Amino acid sequence: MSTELNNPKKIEDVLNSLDGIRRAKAPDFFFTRLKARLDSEFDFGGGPLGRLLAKPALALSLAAVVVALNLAVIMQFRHQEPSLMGDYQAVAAVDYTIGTYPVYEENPIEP
Amino acid sequence: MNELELIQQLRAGDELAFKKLVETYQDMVYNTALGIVQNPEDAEDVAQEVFIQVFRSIDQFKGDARLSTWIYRITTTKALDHIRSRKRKKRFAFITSLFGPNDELVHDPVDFHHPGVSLDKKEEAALLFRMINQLPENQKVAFNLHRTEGLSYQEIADIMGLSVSAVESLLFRARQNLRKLLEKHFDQPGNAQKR
Repeated sequence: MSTELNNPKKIEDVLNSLDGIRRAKAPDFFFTRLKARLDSEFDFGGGPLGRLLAKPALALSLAAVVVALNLAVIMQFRHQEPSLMGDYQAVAAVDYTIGTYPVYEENPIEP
Repeated sequence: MNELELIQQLRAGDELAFKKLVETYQDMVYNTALGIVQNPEDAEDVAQEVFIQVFRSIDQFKGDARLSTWIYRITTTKALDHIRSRKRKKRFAFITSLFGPNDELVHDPVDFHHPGVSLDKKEEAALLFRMINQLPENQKVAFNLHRTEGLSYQEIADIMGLSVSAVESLLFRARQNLRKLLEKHFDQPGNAQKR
């Protein structure tokens, strides 16, 4: 019975327990530790270019452009290869009179 | 140095301006983070992330709000991200513990004691923070900004991007929920206040 009577008061005491609370202070040497973390991620001495390149969006975009250029060159090279091979085959066929028809074809194509 | 000059120098990458910024706002950021994450080491981590974010994004600050409003916004976002990350790690740890060699119980975290609370109210405040931890995110943020930072409804509305009436409603519901949680707590045997 006494516990039920006391609960509302206790609840109010708890709800009001933050009255007059003071702001917690940042730990000592907070800036020193923050600066150390920043220095490991950025370079304050890098100048405008360094700061620009430190922006993740820009750095990732540049990397994507480099990868795309490399892929484009690789794809172009792969696309060219069969025709080059075809040229080499045609030249070799003429030089060595190699027929491109099966031996027993009815209407062989003469070189 | 007024706020506009500070922002201009920050955009220019001035290291002294950054130090001035940190010195001006470090307690505000740390205290806000501490009320939400309820752990001093985590609060310092969050506070560092806030200033790193400010340093990275100062060019994007439009100046349509006060600098402190913007920094509060980043702080509450980073603090909530930290809590979500902590919950994910706990969930993962629980799953891995099912298959591990040791069946370890997941213990409740130690009660959080805010350093700014007076001695005579420490135990009640620790209980209140435990209940605050169970509030929905928006109510938790609004309640912390109001009670631990002493911000007005208008200031909280500016930070959270809400109307003043929405903030009033959030704080009303927060208080109601806290009351229900405390009633449930005191109804449990062993927790009731006895004469």
